Amino acid sequence: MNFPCYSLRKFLLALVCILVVEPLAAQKPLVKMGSISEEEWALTSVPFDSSADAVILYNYAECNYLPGGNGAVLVTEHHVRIKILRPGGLEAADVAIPLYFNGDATEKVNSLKAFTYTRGEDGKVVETQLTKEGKFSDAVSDNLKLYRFTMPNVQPGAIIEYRYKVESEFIFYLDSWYFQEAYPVLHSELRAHIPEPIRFRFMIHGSPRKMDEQEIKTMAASGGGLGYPENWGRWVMKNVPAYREEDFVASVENYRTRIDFEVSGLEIPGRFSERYPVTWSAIGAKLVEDGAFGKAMEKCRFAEDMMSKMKESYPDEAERAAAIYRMVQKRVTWNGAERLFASRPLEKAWEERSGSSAEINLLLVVLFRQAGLSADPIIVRTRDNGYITHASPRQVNYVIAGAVLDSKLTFFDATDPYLTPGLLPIRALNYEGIRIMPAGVETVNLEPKKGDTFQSLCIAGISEAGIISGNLNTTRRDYAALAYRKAVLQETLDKHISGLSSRIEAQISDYQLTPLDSAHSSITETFRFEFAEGRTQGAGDYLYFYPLLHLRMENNPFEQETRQYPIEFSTPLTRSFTLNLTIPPGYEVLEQPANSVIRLPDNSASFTYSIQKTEEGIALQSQFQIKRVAFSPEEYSDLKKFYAFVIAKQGEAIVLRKI
Amino acid sequence: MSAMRYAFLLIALCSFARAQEYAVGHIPADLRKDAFAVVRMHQMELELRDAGLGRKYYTYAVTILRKEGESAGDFSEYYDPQEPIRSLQATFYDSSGNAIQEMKNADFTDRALVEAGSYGEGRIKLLRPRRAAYPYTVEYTVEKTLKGIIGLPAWVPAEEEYISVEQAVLKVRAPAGQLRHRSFNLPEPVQGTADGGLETFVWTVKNFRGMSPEPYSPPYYEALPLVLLAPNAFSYEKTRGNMESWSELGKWSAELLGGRDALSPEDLAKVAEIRAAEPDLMARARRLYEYMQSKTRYVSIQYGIGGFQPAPAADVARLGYGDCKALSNYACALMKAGGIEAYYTLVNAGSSVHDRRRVMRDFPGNMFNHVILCLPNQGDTVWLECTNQQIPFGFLGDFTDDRDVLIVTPRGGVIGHTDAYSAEESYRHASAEVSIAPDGSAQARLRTRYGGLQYDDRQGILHLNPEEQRKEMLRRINVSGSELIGYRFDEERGRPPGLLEEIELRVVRYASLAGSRMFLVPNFWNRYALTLPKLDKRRTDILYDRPWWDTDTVTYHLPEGFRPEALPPPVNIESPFGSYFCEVREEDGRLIYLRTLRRHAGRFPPELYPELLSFFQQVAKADKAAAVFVKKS
Repeated sequence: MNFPCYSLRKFLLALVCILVVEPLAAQKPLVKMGSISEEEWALTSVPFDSSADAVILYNYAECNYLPGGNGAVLVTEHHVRIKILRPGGLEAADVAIPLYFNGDATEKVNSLKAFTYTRGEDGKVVETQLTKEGKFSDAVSDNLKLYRFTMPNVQPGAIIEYRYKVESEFIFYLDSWYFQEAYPVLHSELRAHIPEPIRFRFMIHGSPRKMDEQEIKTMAASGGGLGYPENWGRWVMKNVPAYREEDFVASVENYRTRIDFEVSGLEIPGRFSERYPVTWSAIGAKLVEDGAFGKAMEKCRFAEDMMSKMKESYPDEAERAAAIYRMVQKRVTWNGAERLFASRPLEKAWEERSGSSAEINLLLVVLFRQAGLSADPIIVRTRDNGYITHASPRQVNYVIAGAVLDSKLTFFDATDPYLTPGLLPIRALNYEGIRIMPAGVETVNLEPKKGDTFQSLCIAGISEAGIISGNLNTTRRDYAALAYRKAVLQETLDKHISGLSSRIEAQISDYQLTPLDSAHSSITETFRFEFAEGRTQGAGDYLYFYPLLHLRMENNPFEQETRQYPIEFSTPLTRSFTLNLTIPPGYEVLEQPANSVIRLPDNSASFTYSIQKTEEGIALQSQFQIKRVAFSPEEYSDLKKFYAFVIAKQGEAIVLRKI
Repeated sequence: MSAMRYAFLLIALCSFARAQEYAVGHIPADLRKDAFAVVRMHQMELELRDAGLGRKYYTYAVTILRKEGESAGDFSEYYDPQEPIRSLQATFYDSSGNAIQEMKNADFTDRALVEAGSYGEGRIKLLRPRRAAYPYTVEYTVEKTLKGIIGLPAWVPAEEEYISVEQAVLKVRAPAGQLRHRSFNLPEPVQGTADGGLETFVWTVKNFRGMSPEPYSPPYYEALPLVLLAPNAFSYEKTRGNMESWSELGKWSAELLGGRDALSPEDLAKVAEIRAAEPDLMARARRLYEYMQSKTRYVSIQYGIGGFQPAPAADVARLGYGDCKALSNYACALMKAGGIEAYYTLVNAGSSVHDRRRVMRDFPGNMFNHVILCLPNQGDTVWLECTNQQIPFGFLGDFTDDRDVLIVTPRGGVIGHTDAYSAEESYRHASAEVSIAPDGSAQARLRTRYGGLQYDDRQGILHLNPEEQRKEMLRRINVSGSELIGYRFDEERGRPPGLLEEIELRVVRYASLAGSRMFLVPNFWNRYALTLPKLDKRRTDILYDRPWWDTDTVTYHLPEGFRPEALPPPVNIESPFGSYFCEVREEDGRLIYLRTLRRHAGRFPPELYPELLSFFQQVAKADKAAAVFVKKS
């Protein structure tokens, strides 16, 4: 995995040679430790975020490159001041600082100073210092330590304040700075001093919000630094509301306001020069040459004979691709690791029948190519990490396969044995990916064209006693088929039928579900049913019932009043229901819901409902569709009303009367 | 024969024996039926050398028959400095039982058990094997040293109750008279002696057929094989104790508390002030408790003996935080300084029936995971939960209610029992006025009082911030199309506490219109919709011991001109599981809806399960029945 690892040692050596060591001039903190203002004491709520349990009065960090380690270390000094407003904000008194390490580099915390301030009714301020009994350090896993502390004497109304430095040997990884936190922030500021040899760029992401102050300039070498002129930046945001956890959000990372840094090159004139790829085409070219990516595919030749036979057996390209896909899905189990690079030769994954996403899908591309298909890896960022914001190897962590079939690019991901060609697992559905071709790259749209589709056809009759019975035939396609098949396979068929019977409150017989056992794009369920009484209501000569039967939608997923972020569905949705219902002899349809069609602007969601009297009774067609996967916060209220309309419409009853 | 060759032969013999053992063909047919995975061997060997040193060795082998069963092969093992892992290994076997791969300690994932606000030494070793070729068998062998003994692990050979177990063995060796045991649903152990005066016990389970879990089942020890073990003399981190009796175990706890109740001068002054102001003992106890709550927050800190011994009271006062032990000990110190009799009390917390019935009066052992405080109060015992800053004085929720606890007195431990909530106490009394407009929209005022465990369930909302409160309100109201206009709470913090909640609401389309008819479900917002699985034949008794009681009165004001065409008939159900009554009637152009649902506590034979299902179904049906109105033309 040599790709993101820059020629660190060489560069560090070059740095060391001309290091000018001077005493470090004291960094002037913007806010003095312990200098709590009267306004801060008086603050009991936050005007722009009235629900805050705590408020971050001040969140400050300053990054500096200093001599140390193998030449230079990246030292970030943090200074945080938080006021606890409500009991819910006491959680802010437990602080965890993540520290990464690997065989080459480590991070450590030093100079931690922390105080809690409380003010009594008499106005006297009590200051309690954090001592070592409140500090804890845990090696959490192979590459992460947590330095944690819990603040003393904290109650609602208290102010906690801490300063510490993180000294990092990962000098090319400037952490993203989050202006937006779980609590509102009154003042968030980042300063970075970056010596000129380190070329970097920065990008601001998240919810659109203006920087309140921003300065970028070049400065002469500062004392105590590495002795180079510096690029100096300062970014400030004020009065930033807290980010919220909301349903139907792919990743909150997409919306938290932050600044990302990316090192783009190293340059000491006349001594050292290296540029890092900052475009997808440059990154693609490096990937093609990388031993854990393109070269790993080139070296994998064990299946050449097998694949040429596949080519003969399956003259049709789509069938050939599907057969090879099945073969890999069956043969190799995903070990759960989301990776961009293979950590061992691809044939190992085949031999040992297990591998990471990179090993499995790069292997799939190799087999496709060896079988004469045009196929390429597509690099993506998994959904819960947020979508790709700019060209950088650090933006991608996963790889899928794409093959050109019928001159269309079709996606494959063999990490899930139930997926069919063209369907990606939800984790890979993250708007766009980059296709890495032997000579060039292209950005591809990953938005799912296939959706979560459910179509049900019901032919039923209603008895004079009000019992509805009949036949139901339901076809689930694509994501709906995938989810149903997985769920059913988790239990025995008997259990599944008995669970279904309890859920829909009906006796079930002649149950069939096909094809159950392997990846097909659809799965069809048929059975005879007799609903328990209660599906209809009767009084005197009247019978009432809701014609959507067991498929009536009763809860609106969008009951909340406001929405901060876009609404993201993972896939499009279709729910159709067709009912042909025979009413008892001697009855007539007295009242029926009106037909209606409702659409959101640009047809991104639609609901059609049509009901007709027939000779035997009534015929109903209902179709609910979400066609677009993302809606803006401004569209929230429309979407909420759309769902409310559907629920209300499905809550309208049919009235039968005895003639 | 050289030693090396001899060793080689042994290994060869062993693996041959195992190949025999783990061949898939050897699984009895009835265990394989419908199974995704079968536990082949679950063997635990426990050896106590003396009161404070032991060794635990176990083997766990499971055959994964289908992909869907693969999580049954997932492994996790807790460890800490008192209970380190000495060796750890996983071996994989193919379907014929041939070893195909081995994994060592270093191949396992090692993680700290880290949680915000929780600090300790506990770590975990994990392995999540995923293999493409089924069936396969994975066998884990673990050896741990027990450096310090308080509790001994319970042996539950069929941990996942729906997975079948081919063979399970528990072997225990201990110095004579050192160990007590209690087994459930198992034949008596084979007893013997070993060198050095050791006693041995062996329990064996063969061909245990997995069973589906059943709702409302009694504690698992009633149906599943289980062995409980407890030492007599024990030693942990330089402390020594004996748990032959509750009294003795309590003495050990009392010793750990010794000298940890000294208060700071500031606290002593505060206590004196409260004492002077409140001559009534319980009023004083309440003020002291609230003082403790106002000064502290819960932080879990468990290192070494600190897992059992509280931090000194003065430290809690200085730091403003502590775990259940530290906070209870601090509260106890405040009470004692204030002249109130109070005892530190060990409890097994948790809301399930298994948690509540874990402590067995006649089998003393360390079965506790939490601490509360007991104020005897001349027979009217007050129990105090000290880790919650908001809970009213004397209230325990479902986390610690109705169970045996060990009260730690200086003379030793005494078993007590926390209060159970009766149906009368766990009430929800709701009344509502709902005006329906001609377009079907509704304007509603809801007024609800909660007590007991229904108060417990509801009171958390009081301490949320306004935004979360509104969200939680809408979630709870759960009437589609609701718009919250306003709400207020009034909490009665007495003994027992209660909560009054008033909500004003608009519902966009509460009643639905069909031509000249209007449909309306009279049960506005308390519809019972619990579906239980159908079971071919229920095995276990039905146990329900958290009774409660709901009443609803809803008055509807109907739009001009609508008169009832069909009203749901009154329903009156008496069942062993509960009683239900509802009625809708028209009165002066208003519609009045009355409903009472009461769930009875009790233990019922399995044959009554269909009756339970039927009770739930009838209630659900009545709750969603609609009233029909027609507009006079």
